Amino acid sequence: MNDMASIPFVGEFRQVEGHLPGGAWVTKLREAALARIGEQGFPTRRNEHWKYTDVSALLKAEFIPAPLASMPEAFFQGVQRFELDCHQLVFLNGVFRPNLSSNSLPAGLTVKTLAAAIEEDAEALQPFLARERDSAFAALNTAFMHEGVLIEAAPGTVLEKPLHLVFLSAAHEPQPVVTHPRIIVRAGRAAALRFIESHLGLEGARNFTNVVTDVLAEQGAQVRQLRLIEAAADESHIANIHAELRRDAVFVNHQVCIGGKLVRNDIRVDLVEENASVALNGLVLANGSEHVDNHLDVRHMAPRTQSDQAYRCILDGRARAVFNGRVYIAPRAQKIEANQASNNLLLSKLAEIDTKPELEIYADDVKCSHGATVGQLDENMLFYLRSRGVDADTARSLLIYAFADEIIRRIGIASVRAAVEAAVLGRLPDADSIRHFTMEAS
Amino acid sequence: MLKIDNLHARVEDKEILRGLNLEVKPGEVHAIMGPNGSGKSTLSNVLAGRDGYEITAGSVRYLDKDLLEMAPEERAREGVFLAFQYPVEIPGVNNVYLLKAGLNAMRAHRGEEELDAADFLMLVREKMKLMQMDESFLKRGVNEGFSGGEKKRNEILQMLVLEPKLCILDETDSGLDIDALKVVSQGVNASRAADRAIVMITHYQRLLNYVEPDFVHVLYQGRIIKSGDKSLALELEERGYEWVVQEAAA
Ligand SMILES: Nc1ncnc2c1ncn2[C@@H]1O[C@H](COP(=O)(O)OP(=O)(O)OP(=O)(O)O)[C@@H](O)[C@H]1O
Ligand SMILES: [Mg+2]
Repeated sequence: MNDMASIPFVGEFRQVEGHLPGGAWVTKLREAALARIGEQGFPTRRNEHWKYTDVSALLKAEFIPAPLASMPEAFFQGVQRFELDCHQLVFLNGVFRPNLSSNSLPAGLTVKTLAAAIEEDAEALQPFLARERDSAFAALNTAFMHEGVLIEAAPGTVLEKPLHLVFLSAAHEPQPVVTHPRIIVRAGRAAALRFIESHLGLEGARNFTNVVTDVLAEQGAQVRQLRLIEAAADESHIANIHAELRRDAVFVNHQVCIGGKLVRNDIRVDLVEENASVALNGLVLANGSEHVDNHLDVRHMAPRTQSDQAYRCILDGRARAVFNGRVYIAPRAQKIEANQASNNLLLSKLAEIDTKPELEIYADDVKCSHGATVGQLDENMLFYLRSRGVDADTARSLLIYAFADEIIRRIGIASVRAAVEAAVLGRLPDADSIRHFTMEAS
Repeated sequence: MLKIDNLHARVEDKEILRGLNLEVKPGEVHAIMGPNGSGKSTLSNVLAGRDGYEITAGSVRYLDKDLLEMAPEERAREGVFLAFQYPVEIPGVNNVYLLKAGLNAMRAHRGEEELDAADFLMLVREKMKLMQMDESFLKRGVNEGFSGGEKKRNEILQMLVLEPKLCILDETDSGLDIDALKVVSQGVNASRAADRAIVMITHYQRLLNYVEPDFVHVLYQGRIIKSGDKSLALELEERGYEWVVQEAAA
């Protein structure tokens, strides 16, 4: 294993392994993941799916693995900012903080930290932990996984309040921190749950978060996930999400990505049994030289399955975003409905979007639509608003907000929607003058 | 109130307004008629402050200020209102918000306090009744999915709420059914006041039956070539524009 030391991140494994949870079975899994990285390496821009996203700078940066880092004091004011009426679990630079987390959970719901779950019975989680993933970063997560959450809803459990996983990231000196959260969600037959994953980077943070999430929705289950990624300007975030949906199951994923030096989310959804349906909604706001890349991959493996992808990017400065929306429809998967829309607003001449649908359809009874638009703010609309007395900056913000709202309004829970609105408004110039507009029409 | 003097305006090297003169005093109602492409909408856009027009000569004074120097929102706050020939749809910006934002901007400009929510709603409801608009329009996006006639009504609703001093109506009567024309005319008549002027651009005598103008002008190739009283509109309806053009050429 000599040459392994020279591979980014992998070299630190020997230092941390004593801090990582799990018995022999998990250790074998970790070693196998490391070996895989050793063989295949990290993606380069020669890889078609990483063509626009260059991770070479990230791979060169020095990070300290979360278990070895100290806990910055600056943290705790960040927590209140996002008080929602939720069951809350808080992680600070990747480390679970029970004292900041709520502990009264409704019957039928089991929530464990990943460490506890792995120590208890890792092999029970084998379908998730050992899942084949075509990603070196996911393998890296498997090798280093330390903290995270296992959420299990027993059959028929309907959760009223959402679960809120708060991942706060703060500056750590002299080296920034790398964390590998692992989230596993299992919704039993006809169970319904919502969870929110907030990744909030406090100012000055330069950390790297490398998440892996698995969702399994059994027959008739409904899982709704909101990922709010508000990364600090120098932070990196890579996520690999895989959801498997059985008969009649529903999965809704909203992703709101606000900023970040490098953000890359891969979401794969397998619709493996009849009548499963998925909606993937996304909103990206980026500025400066931020970079946000979303790769969606929806696989219709069974008849009568439905999918809907709706992504919107708002880019300013020299920001760059990527949207790659794949829809695969297997042979014999008939009576499919699949829609995709990628709409993009470029606020500056230097901002750039690469949007690409990837449709692979091997069945014939299929209703499929896709469309992409890239545009600037509409001059006619701006003039109309100004001609009614609205000043130019407010008019601009209003139109930007209206564009974003097409996605925000899909978020079902009012308090969560309001929190997302506030986060989006926080990024707009002149937000105060349009804030009252966002509240339900007076 | 408004004094346009020898106005020349071009769009992309094409001269569209070519020496236009017009004076409008408070309390007056003017009708501007003229063939398609003669420059009527260009005039209204220039007055409202739309980008893309180059003013090559002439001046526009409004309430003793240089109108052309002002940003569109300043003009609006000073009381200039344009009801658009083709009102734009703005999905996601709701109608009631625009009314409120507009009205509050005007009030702030005049040094008045913002209307509170209840008073504002009362005001809007009253004006909507006059325009026979259902309240459901308030929650929709600005003009979003409105029919042609509904858009025109919405323009007049905005005018009634914002209470401008100079109202320019660009073909607000086009595309209205017979009943809607009456409703819109009522709205316009309700706005007539000693301190307010109205300039109506129209192709049809019909509107002028309901809203009687003090003056009628013919705009042709970027100039006003004839002015008269309301009888001129009747004569145009009967004889077309050809005779006016020839008379002007003579
Ligand atoms: N942006 C533009 N670029 C090029 N030509 C333009 C532009 N805007 C207006 N024009 C031209 O200027 C002329 C006057 O247009 P305008 O819209 O003012 O006419 P109008 O009198 O309002 O006509 P209508 O009765 O059909 O509404 C037309 O020939 C039109 O094609
Ligand atoms: Mg016109």
